Amino acid sequence: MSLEETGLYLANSQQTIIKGCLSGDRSAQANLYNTYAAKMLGVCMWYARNREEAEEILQDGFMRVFKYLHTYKGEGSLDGWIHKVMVSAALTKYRNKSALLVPVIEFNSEFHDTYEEAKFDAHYDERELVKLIQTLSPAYRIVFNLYVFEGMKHREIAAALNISESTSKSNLADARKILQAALMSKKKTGTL
Amino acid sequence: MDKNLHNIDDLFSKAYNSFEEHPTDAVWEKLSTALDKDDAEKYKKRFIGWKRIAVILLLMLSGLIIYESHIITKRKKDIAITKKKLFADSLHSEKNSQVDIRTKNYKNSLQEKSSLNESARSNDIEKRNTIKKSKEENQSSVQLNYPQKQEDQSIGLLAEKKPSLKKNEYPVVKKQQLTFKRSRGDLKKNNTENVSTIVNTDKEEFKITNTQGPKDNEILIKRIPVIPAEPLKRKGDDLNSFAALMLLQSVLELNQNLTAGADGHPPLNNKKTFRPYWSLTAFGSNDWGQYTLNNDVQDNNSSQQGEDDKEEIYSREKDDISFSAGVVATRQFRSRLGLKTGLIFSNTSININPQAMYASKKPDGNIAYKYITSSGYGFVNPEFGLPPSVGDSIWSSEAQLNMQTLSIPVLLSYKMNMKKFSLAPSAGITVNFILNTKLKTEVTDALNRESVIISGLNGMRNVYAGLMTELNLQYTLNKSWSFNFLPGFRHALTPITRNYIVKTYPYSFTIGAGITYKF
Repeated sequence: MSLEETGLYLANSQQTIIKGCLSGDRSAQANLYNTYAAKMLGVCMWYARNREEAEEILQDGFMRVFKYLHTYKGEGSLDGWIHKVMVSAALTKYRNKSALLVPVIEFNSEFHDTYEEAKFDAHYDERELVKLIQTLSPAYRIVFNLYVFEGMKHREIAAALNISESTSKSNLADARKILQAALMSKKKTGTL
Repeated sequence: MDKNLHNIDDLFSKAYNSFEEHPTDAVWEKLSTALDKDDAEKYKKRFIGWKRIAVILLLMLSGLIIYESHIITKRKKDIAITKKKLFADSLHSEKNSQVDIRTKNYKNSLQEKSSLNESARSNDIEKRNTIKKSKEENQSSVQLNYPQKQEDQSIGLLAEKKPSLKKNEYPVVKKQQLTFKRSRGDLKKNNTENVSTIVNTDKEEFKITNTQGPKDNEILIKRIPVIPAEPLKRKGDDLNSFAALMLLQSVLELNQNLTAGADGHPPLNNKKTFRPYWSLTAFGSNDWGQYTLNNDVQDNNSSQQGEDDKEEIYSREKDDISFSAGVVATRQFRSRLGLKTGLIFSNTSININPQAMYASKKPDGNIAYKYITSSGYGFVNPEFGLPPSVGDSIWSSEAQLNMQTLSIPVLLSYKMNMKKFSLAPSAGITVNFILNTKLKTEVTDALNRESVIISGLNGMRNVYAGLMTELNLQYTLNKSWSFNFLPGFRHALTPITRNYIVKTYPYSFTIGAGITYKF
């Protein structure tokens, strides 16, 4: 089967699954879940504090997927659409909880030890990096994720989280510094 | 520093894109349970209308069966009564025809026996006297209590004829005591006109024409030379027993005549005078609503725009199942006419398809997204995203509009009673107060979704007038309680909107049931 044919086959099977989900067919829904659950849980892990919270977000996310699947018009990939829904589900937890999105302690780099120029190799375990992200406060974690992973601008992040643009910028800077410090610390000690 | 920052971003980005984690089985189980619950809710919502229709049809069928069985029972009774009557009539006519036959025969025989002499007559008289004496001895005659006493009917009467009786002469006889039944009315009236009895002799019969003879102790009798005595005389019968039979028949006729009244028409039953009464009905009903939209071009420059707005609104809204409940008081001031009023609470639900909302200026000058419905409009300002500018749009998902109304009806009803059932159509006007309107929807953009509730719509009136008709099929359970089946129809006479792009006139068909207490 050629690449084109494979693509066509996948598209047709995806259409069948979508139709089945829209008609409430449980097996089609299970099929869709099984196809995307692992990847989407990975996404949720970056936004949650721990695995339990990540699974809650995943469950909520898929409920939204099945409920609003009829709004998917085929523009962009289904994968990308489900990804957006998951992120939206994750943000729902923290939306309007602006207290959580403002950092409790303002990280002041002036008082931090200067560190040598660092090069971050790509040999860090993904799970370790996830754990590192999960140690951040919600304020830093979400802003960092939205900026770095979703590619949103500060203006958009501020609107999405109902915070000011300057808060978004400072949260991002602080998040980076904390992560940097943590990675440096790992490099030295070999642990996170 | 920037390089490091960029580097750190890349590091995490790579990890983000490739990281996967398998969820536990419990996640799918919870998800599946939640989906089942969701499906059950949808199923319930979808078929609740049919279920309600099925219940109502079942009630109607039960009512029909009860009504039909009542009719069948009544018909059987009527048939039985008719049969008895026919039988009684046939008996009577048979006797009359027998009398006619015998009359003819006797006339013929009379002609043959025209040469009856006085001695034969005197022999008859002697014979009768003998029989009379023997009767007196046997004490078989019955006491006649004239005219006051009321005893059981019959036995016989013996007429005593004067020996010197001539043809067509009215003999007088000594008053006998005869007991027969009389109606109470007759006792008071002292109606003696219809009193008659037939006295049988061997050859002739006599009819008492007047119980008040020339003297108090005398009665008048009339000879009836129509019925020969011999054919009527049965073997073993004595004069008294046969006379008793004939007397019984006469008594029965007498009773019939007396009860029929002097003019022969059946007496009027004592009409029960109608007493006005109150009744209170508590009911619930299912409503199937729609609305009529008319263009109100107040806000539009062209009628085409108005038509478009009307079509657009009409196409995206669909009435959901609604209900009403209330208490209605009826004053039945005539046996058929009544006046009804009360309080009816209605909840109307409308489903609205997803639509785009466009930002426009609010009355207070701020800009927000405008949500348009058939009943009015509202403004939405989602918490996510930037404040909108005029012309910006946002998408809303499926919405539900609930409107609660309190109605005060004033109806005139016309009641038709059919034994245990009654049918009472009524019609009149209602004054409707819109208590509350609530719109629930979700607004969404690429990343965000937010539930919004709009309480109270602009462009909506608080009060509107309506027309109401109802058909009350009532089944009487006992003196005080009744069960009602209430199909009805309501239509707004004035629009529920004002200063709006459309004039909306809601109407609904209702089917309800209730109970009535009469006091």
